[in-house]
Amino acid sequence: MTRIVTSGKGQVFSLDVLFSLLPVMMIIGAGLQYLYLAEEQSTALIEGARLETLAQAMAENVAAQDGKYVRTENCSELNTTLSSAAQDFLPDGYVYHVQAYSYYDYGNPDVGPPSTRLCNGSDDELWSSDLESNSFIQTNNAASSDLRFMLEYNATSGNLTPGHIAGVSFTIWKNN
Amino acid sequence: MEKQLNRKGFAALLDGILAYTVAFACIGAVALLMTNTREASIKTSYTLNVWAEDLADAIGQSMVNPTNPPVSYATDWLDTTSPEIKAALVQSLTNIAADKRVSITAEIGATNLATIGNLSQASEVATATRLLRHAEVSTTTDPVSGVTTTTYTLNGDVSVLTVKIGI
Amino acid sequence: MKKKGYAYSLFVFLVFVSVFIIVVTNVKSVSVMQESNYERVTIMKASELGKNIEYLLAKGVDCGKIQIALSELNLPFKAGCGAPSTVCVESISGNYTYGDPTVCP
Repeated sequence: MTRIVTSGKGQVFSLDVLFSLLPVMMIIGAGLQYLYLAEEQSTALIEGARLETLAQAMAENVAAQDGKYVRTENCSELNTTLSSAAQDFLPDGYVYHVQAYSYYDYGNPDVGPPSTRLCNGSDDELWSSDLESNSFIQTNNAASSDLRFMLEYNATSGNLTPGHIAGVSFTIWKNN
Repeated sequence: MEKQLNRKGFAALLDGILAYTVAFACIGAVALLMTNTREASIKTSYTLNVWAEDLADAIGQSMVNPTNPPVSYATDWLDTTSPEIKAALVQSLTNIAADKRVSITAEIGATNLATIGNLSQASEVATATRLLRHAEVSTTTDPVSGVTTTTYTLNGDVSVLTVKIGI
Repeated sequence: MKKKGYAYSLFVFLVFVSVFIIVVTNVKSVSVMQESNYERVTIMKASELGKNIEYLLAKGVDCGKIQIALSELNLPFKAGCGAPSTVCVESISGNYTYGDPTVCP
């Protein structure tokens, strides 16, 4: 190793000292980068957890109604429940989108999405008022969704449809 | 005499900083790994349990009177129902299991209602329990018209519905 | 010179120990968070079964038969009923109780 020699003037920034300190600087630099990444990750984690809680709260609000069921059509009742739940739970800027589909009339699960969408009528708006029905989730946003199972409800007979289980999916994200 | 930098002290400082950085990184990595795996596991457990409870409610509410000819579904949470409704339940559960890649088992007492997939191969299983009212089913056939009539009576006993979902 | 080296090493050792203690205590608080998460699952399951028992009692099922059925189950919480129509569900830790606690086993 080079012999480090100092003159009486207290020379610090000699080449030898800098050379010796290089690995230390690299480690500190890498450590700082890692800390920055960890902070970014934890911010995303916290926002993700928040979205998850909102989605679960909204789903539970609907599922805890008297009789866990979802209508097959004319779902203005579900629309009203969702709007009031959004007013109670969702802070400003957060939007929701809900989809209901039958797991009884499922078509071929190996081929594609469920074939029978419930609550798909012209006046069934299961999404926030400032969303178009076919809007897509911005890819730079995080979104959270919660899926619940309920029975289908036949409004014509005024009764549950036993054996017909439906899935209702609640999605929440922040509208930028 | 020339002053020399105190090599021993300086080298010791470098060694110390290096050792500290390595130790910090190791502890951080271990702590991070420990929390990450447990966090993912509890979320899976919560979702599976919610689904199991939802399915138990859906099945319980579907267990309506098995009378033939059918009457309107005035009562529910029985421990038996008509074969058509049982078949519809099995179909719904089969589609759910295929879509969500889970295995599902539903039993009423010792009687199997639906078994989809192999639950013993699941790494995580959630169980939901409900109580159902026991119905004594009796079938009579009218010899003249050949019409089969199914009726049921409640004797106050309670059966247990167990729904297991595994991933 | 030896003393200077000793001082540096001691300083580094103390820093290491303090970091270790901080991390260990933080990990413990994470495990406390996990405990409360497990509790959340148990509370959800307990309240669902509580609703079920309430419904059965309202339909006129005998409480004794319900208790027999419950005693054979391996539930992660306590559940019971009392004549004529009181229900109790309680988490093992006692943090969550619904209904009349005296009726729980």
